[in-house]
Amino acid sequence: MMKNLKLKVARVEHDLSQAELAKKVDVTRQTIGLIEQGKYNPSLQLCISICKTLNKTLDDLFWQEED
Amino acid sequence: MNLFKNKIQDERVVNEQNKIYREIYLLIYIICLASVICKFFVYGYFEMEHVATEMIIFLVAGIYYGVRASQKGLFSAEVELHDNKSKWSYQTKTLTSGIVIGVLLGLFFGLNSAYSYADSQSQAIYYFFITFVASMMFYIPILVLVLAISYSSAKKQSDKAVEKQLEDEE
Repeated sequence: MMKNLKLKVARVEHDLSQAELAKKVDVTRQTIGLIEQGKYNPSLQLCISICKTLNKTLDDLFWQEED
Repeated sequence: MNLFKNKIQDERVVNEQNKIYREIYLLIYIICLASVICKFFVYGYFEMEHVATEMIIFLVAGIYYGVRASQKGLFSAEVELHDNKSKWSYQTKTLTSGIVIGVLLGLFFGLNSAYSYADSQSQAIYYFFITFVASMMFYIPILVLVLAISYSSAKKQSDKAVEKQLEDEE
């Protein structure tokens, strides 16, 4: 599975730790960690919630170009 | 070729099926609880032999969930989510529930003893208090100890599982 580096970068840009982002979107730190690692597929609702918190679009964070 | 292996899975269907399984589990729990209550009224007294199957279902299901939740790191997540929102920590609530269950058991045995064995009102009060206090003295420490040990071991195992899941992260 591909890592979601875009999410990690956006989170760091906002100076948020995994735990802080997790708290803002009502999930656990573990869930954010697993999304960043590409080990968990979040629901569309959670994706939108993360995007709104980080002021990004779904494309910005979750669209992955095929090689 | 395996004719019975159907690999096509619709995530909506799987999610709905999981919801149904969850409801089935709750239904089984309610049926077991109703069965325990019915047997208590039919036999007129509480005998472990009569409700052994129901107790096994309650216990095994609870233990199975606890073990699997710890193995998958879900227990740490539950604690984290709870502690973020609640004024009382999960651990405090767990220990308090041990005390509350101990008091309720004391009340149950106290009332049972007063109704079943006392011949006069004063004897009933005496039997109630003596059984109530003795039951609490016995059950509260055991329950608190069992809950504290199971909480800390589940948390430890769950934290380890989370660490393992996230270890190649950085």
